Amino acid sequence: MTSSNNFHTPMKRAKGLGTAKDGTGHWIAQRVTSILIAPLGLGVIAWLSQNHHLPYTDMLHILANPWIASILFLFVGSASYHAALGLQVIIEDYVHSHFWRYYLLIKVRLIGYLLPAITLFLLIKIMIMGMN
Amino acid sequence: MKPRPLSPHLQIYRLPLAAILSILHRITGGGLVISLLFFIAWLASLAMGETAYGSFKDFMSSCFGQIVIFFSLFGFYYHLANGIRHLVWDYGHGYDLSTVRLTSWLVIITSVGATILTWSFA
Repeated sequence: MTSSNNFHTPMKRAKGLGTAKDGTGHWIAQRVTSILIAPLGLGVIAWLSQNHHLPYTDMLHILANPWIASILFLFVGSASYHAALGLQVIIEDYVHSHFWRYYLLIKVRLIGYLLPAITLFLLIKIMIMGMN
Repeated sequence: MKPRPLSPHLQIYRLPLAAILSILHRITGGGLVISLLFFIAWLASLAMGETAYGSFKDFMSSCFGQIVIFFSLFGFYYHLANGIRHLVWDYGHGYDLSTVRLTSWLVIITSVGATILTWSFA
């Protein structure tokens, strides 16, 4: 706090800076998503390690299956959320400059929303391409 | 008077195994964000057509692409194994030094082993 704010009451200075009232939600979400990512990530790695050589059209048809597309969307969605929460903690720990701290925190949150959105539309396009 | 070094002073202090694993959890977590971007790029190349898919596969079979895949695999297995350890800690188990040392080595062995296994069977 700068000295020019000294006439503020301690309550006034604390307001709007965020309190310890909603951190638990992040902590729980980090762990819940981790339990989702574990089997999904293992499944994606196991499948891709054996099938990455498949020809283009075969791969397209497999990913056009709505069940498989749903699993992939769930994987990217939960991984993006988990990543955004993890990066948030890293930024909060290491970035102390006020500007960069909030710039990066906002950016990380936006990317956390953006990646599942991009993935969803890519999967829809793959589904349309794989239908014919 | 010269300012005295603070402890733990990272240039002097030899990190214990648990500390190395702890920072590696962060590093692999950050690195896996890049792996996730590569996975989405793979989906994007598939959605863009056969030529784009072909060039993406060529890129991934290059030296740089193979390094990305190798570190993505190790990062995932390490973060998974150490993450399971974190979940067990959250339940309040495994805090005594001998158990921490044992599970540390367990994490190293399983993540390196799983990486080598996946790499050789891919």
